[in-house]
Amino acid sequence: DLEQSLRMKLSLTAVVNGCRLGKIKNLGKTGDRTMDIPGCLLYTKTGSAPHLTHHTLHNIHGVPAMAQLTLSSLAEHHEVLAEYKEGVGKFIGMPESLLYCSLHDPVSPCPAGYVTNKYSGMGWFIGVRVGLPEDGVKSVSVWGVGGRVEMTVSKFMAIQQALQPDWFQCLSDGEASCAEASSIKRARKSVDRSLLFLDNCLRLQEESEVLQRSTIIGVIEGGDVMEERLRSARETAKRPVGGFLLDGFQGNPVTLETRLHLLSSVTAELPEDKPRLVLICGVSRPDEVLECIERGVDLFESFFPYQVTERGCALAFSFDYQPNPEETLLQQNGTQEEIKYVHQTKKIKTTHCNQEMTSFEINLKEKKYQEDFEPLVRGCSCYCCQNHTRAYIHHLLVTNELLAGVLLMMHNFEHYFGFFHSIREALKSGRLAQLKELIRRQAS
Amino acid sequence: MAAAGSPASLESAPRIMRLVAECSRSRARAGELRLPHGPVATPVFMPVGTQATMKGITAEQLDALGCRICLGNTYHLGLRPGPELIQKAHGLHGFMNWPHNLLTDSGGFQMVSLVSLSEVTEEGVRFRSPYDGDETLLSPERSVEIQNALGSDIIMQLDDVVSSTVTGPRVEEAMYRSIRWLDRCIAAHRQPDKQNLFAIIQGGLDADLRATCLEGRATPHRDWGLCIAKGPTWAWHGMVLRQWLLMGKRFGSALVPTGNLQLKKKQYERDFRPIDPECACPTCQMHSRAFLHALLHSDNTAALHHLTVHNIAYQLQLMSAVRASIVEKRFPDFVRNFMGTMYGDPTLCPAWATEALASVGITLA
Repeated sequence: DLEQSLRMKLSLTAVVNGCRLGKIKNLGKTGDRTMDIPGCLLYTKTGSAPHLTHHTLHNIHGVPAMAQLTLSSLAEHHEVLAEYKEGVGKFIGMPESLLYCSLHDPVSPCPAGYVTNKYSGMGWFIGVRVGLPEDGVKSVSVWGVGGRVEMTVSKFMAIQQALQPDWFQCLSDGEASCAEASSIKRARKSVDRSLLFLDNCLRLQEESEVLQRSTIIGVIEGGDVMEERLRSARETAKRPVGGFLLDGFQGNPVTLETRLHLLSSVTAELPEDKPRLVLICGVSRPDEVLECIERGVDLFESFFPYQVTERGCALAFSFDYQPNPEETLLQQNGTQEEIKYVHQTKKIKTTHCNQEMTSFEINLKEKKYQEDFEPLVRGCSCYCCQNHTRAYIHHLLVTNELLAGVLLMMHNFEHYFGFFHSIREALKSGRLAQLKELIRRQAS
Repeated sequence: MAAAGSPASLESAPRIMRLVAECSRSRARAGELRLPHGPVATPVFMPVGTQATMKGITAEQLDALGCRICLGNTYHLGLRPGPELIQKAHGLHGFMNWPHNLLTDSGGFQMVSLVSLSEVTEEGVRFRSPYDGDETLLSPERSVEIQNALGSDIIMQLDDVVSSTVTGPRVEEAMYRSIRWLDRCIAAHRQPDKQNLFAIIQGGLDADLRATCLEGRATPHRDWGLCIAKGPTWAWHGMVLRQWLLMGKRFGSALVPTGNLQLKKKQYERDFRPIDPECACPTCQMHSRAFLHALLHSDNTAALHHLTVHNIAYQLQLMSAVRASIVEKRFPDFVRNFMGTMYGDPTLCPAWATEALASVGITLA
C-alpha cells in the first residue's frame, strides 16, 4: 500500500559504521507517534507486560512507544476480539501504545512432537509447523496455552482484522531456520512460501477497510543459505511492506555468531531508498544487540529482561561508557566482584527458559544477598532500586512470593531500556566503540 | 496505649482509640485508631501480607488504594527471614518499605493450624520448624520478643488457641491460660511506647466464658474490646478489624456485591464489562472481565495482581461505606441493603448471619 508506506517516515540522524540512528515518524492510527531507532519493543505475554499491571508498568522509565504482541498468545482469543470490535489495544488496556504483532513468542517452549530441529541447544523458539502437502502450503500453526491454532492466509488476516495492530509480521515459513544446516531445497521453500503468503496477505489487506491503517512487515527467510537469503531480501523488498523482519537468526550465541556474516549481507541487499526498517526476532542479549545494530538492524524484542527475571536475576551490567573516573573505579570493582562469582556455564533451570545465566546479571537467590541492604544496582532510578534492597528481593525469592517477579521485572525492563537509550546517545556522540568495548568486557 | 505495670499507671495510659460514632441499635462503632504510623479509621479491613509482602502488589499500589494498616505473620517472618535480620533492616516497616501501620499476630494461631506436631503447655507452644526441622518453643516472651524486633504498631498477645468448635474443660483451661499469658506478654514487652499490645478474647462460643475473659483482662483493654474476625464472620462488637483470609484461596476470584465472580469460567469469555461497574479501582477502570478471563488462562501473573488490586480496593471501600453508615446513623439499613444485594431474598440469608444480626437488634425482613 503506497499510501501506507508514504505515511510512515524514517528519518535518519546519522549512519555511523553501518549503525543507523534516527526516528520513525507518523506512526499510529492518528499518525502522530514517533519511535527512536535503534530501539526495542515492550515484550508482552497475552497482551500484558509480564507480571505488570498498568500501574507498575507506568512506574518504569523509558518504556518503548511500541509493544510486541504475539499471535501465539492471542490467536485463540480471535473470536472474542472479533466480537469486541474495538481492537486488541483497547482490549488489553493499552489504548495509547503502538502495537506490533509477531507470529511467535520468542520465549515459548517447544511443543512436543512438532519440533523439527535437530539442535538440542536451540531450546526455546519453535512454534512453527508449516502445513504440507507439497503441491501448496496451506497453513502455518502457532501454539498458545489452549493448544495449536492453524492458520491459512485468510484466517490469519481475519485475526489481524480483529486485532487491528499498527504493524504485524506477515504469515511466513520459518521452519528452514530450525533445521541443522538447512538444505538448499528447504531454504528455497521457506522463501517461496513466505513470498506467496506475503502476496496473498497484501491482496487481502487491499480488500479490507479495517486493515488500511495497519502495516505489514515482510519476513526475510532462507535459512543459512546465502543465495536464498539474498533472494528473499530482494523479492520481499519489491513488495509494499512497511519494514523487514529478519527471521531465523535466533538460537544460542554460537549460532548467531556464525550467522552474523549472513546478516550483514542480507541488510546490505535491502534498498536504500525505501523506509528500510529492519526488525530481528529472537535476538535480545546486550552483546548480540550491538552486533546486529552494526549490521543494520533497527528494532529488537525485549524478552531478555524477562528471561533474567524468571531465573530470579537482576540485570547489573554497566552501559555507562563515559563515567567520571572515580565512579569508574568504584563500579568496576563492584562489577568485577559480581562477575567473579558467576561461573561461565552456570545453568539455572526455570519453567520458562532453560537458559544459562549470563554475566550481565546477578543472582538474587544467592545467600550472600541475604543481608545486603544495597539496591540491586547502585544509582539505578527504577522503582525497585529506589524503594527496596537486595535483601528484600532475596527474601521474596526464597519465600516464593509473587512480588519478586514484579520488582525484578520493573528493574530489568528499566535497566534494559536504559541500555538502548545509551546506545542512541553513544551513536549521537560518536562513542559506540566505547560502549561496545564496555559491553564486551562484561560478556562472559 | 498498652502498658505493663500497676493499675495506677494504667489509668493514666493514653487511649489510642477515639470513638466517633455508635449505632444506637446494634453495638457497631466508628472510630479512629491513633497509631505510631498514622491514624486509621475504623472499622477497617486489613489486607494480610503474610511474608512481608501483599501478594504481588507493591507498597506504592497498596498506599494508592488507601490502605493504612496491614497484617504480617509473626510465625512466617519469625522463621524467614527471622527477627534479627528484620531488626537490621530497621524493622518490618523498613524491610518492606511500608510507611503506614502494621499489625502482627502472635504466631500462635498459625502454628496450631499449620504445624501438625505442635504441643501446648503452660510454657508455650512447642513445634518443629517445617524448613529446617529444628524444635522450637514459642512462648509468650518469645512471641513478644519477635514482634518487638518486627516493630509493628499493633502486636498481639500469644494466646492458647482452641478451635471454636471444641467444647468442655479444654475451652475454660485455654481461656484462663490466655489471661496468664497476657500478663507474661505485658511483662516481656520492651517497647510499650512504640507498639500497642492487644489482648484476645477467648471462650469459644460460650458467652459466659467470654465475659469472664473480658473481665480477666484487667489491663487497658477493659475500655474497648477487640475483635478480630477471621473468614466470613462479622462481629459487631466494639472495634472491628477483619482479617481477610479469602484472598488467594480461590484462584481467579473477584469480589462483587452479589458475592464473587470466578473469572476463569467460560461465561466471562465475552463479558466486556468491568468486574464491578461501581468500583473505582485501577483494574475496573482499565480492564474488562473478558480480558481478565483471557489473562487468567495464560501464565502471566499480572492476572492475579489485577484481581488482588480489585479485591483489596473492594474490601477497603466496603468498610469505608460501613463506617459512613455508622457515622450517619443508618447502619441497620446499610446491613439490610448489603444482605439484600448479596442474597436477594431475606429468607436466603444464611442462618448464622440472620441470628448474629438479630442478636444485636437488626432484623433483615
